[in-house]
Amino acid sequence: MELNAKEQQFNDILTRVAKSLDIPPSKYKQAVERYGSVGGHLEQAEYDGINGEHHVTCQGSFRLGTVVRPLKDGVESDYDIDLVCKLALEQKPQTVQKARDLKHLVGDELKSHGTYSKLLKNKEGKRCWTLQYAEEDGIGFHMDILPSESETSEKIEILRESGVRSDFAQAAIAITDKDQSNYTWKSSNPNGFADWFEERMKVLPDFDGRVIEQKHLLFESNRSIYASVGDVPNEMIRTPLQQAIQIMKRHRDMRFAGHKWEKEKPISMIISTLAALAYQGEEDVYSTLLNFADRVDQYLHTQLIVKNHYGEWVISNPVNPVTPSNPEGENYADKWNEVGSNRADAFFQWIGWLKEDVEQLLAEKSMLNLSVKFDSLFGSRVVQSAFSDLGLHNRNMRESKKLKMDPGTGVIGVMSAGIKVKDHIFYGGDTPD
Amino acid sequence: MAAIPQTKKLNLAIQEMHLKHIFPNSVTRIINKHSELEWDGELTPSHFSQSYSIQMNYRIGKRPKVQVVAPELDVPQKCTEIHMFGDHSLCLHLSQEWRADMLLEKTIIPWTSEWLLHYELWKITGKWHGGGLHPEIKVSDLEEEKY
Repeated sequence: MELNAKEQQFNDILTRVAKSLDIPPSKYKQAVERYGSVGGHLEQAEYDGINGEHHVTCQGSFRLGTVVRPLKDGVESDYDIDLVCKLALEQKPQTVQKARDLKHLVGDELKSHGTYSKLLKNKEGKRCWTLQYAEEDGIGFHMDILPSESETSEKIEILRESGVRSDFAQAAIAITDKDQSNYTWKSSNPNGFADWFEERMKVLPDFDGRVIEQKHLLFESNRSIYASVGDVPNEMIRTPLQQAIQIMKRHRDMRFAGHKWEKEKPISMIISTLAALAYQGEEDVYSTLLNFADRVDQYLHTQLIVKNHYGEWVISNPVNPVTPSNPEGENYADKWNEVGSNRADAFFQWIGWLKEDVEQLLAEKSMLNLSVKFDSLFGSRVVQSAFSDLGLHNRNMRESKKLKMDPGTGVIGVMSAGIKVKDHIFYGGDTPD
Repeated sequence: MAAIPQTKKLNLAIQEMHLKHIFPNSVTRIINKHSELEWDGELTPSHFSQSYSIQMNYRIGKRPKVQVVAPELDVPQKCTEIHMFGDHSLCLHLSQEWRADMLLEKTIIPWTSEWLLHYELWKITGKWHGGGLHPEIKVSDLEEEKY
């Protein structure tokens, strides 16, 4: 989609909003250090009666590059980091006792460690153990650690039969689920999902070229963190799809804050999955958002969301889909089908808001009004930071002689044609010098 | 356009012609016994900005004076914070950065539009992001004191 000049400027601001929602490079580095040391410890630990290699990997929004600082009661809170800890257990049998053992092997390892035992949340999670890191700068981390083992070969075969690509299916894991005091087994596939997502993202034209370009920019603006361009981790790169998802997640959080359907707002996995499925290589955040909303709205035609012949909503996990051969597959819209649920309505309401808000933002007639509308949708800290970033960018562009003015209107920006804004220094005295 | 010799002061008619060429809808007048050029134009610094009515007055060899006529600006108590003189005309450049052999259309006007953009961002963020100097800082400190 070819953007007009105003849409280009709008996209530029949206991109800066996404950047302000993102985890800053210094904080990301801290997160990697934190989970690197827990992960290393859990991989090296001796677990009673288990031989073999254990693996700890990052999953969720940190892995997908769609991390946004969460809002709790309208206030920005700690980042969530999700880790998968896969122990080298024999796949069979999947007994209740073994599920309990697996969960507690990891839990006991954390409890017996001097540092982690202090960070460990007392209450055992349904599927995870949680470490809480309070940091000196006041922005901490919640780290969820998910004990797991390889999925059974039968299940992996079922996934393949359901159309999941072999390498994605291979990554499936079995996890434990605690209900009251009963443990059961569930199937999950966070690593397969991350690989699937990455492939969808790479539909973007000239993906590799953009990675190199962004790494250079990140290195230039974070020289105190990175020693060289090669030091900039791939995980810091952001594509329009990732940034659109970041924007949608915060937009959802703000739009549903205090709303009667707040507890039924769309889950991030639904947003990320549908956005990745709907993505067709759009090269900017604005088109990615708009096309997403349109394609989801036309779900009867695009089949992004299915309503089956029982009238049930189905949004399948792409690496563990609900199919006749995999009836146990994961339906992200499971809860939409519960009696009395407003989740489907909440979701479509949100899509409506998204379209309406993008349209209204684009129609704003003054920069101040635009920022006020942005404030209400993304929060004031984020918007202040995005507009400051815009100001500094314009200054840098002038200093590097790339800033131009459009004749006739006076519009300032980086554009192909126009009158170059000669470098100069704003001077400020009480009277002209 | 032929290169203009560095030392040659451009006369008001040439400045006027260039301004009209770039902003055909603007109004120019030569006043004060042919000694002063007055330019009334509209500048819109971004696609999300309102349009600002600008008046520029220029006498050959003097510092061009730029004022925002409408809408009325929000001026902070200390107007130097946004690089404004006490009379609310704009502080766009160091005195040596502008010479009479330069075209207003290529200097003062783009600087004015850029000033407006930073004014709008200042209104949003409370900070001036366009860089600049205040008289208490010496020009010789410029390299170290870039802000």
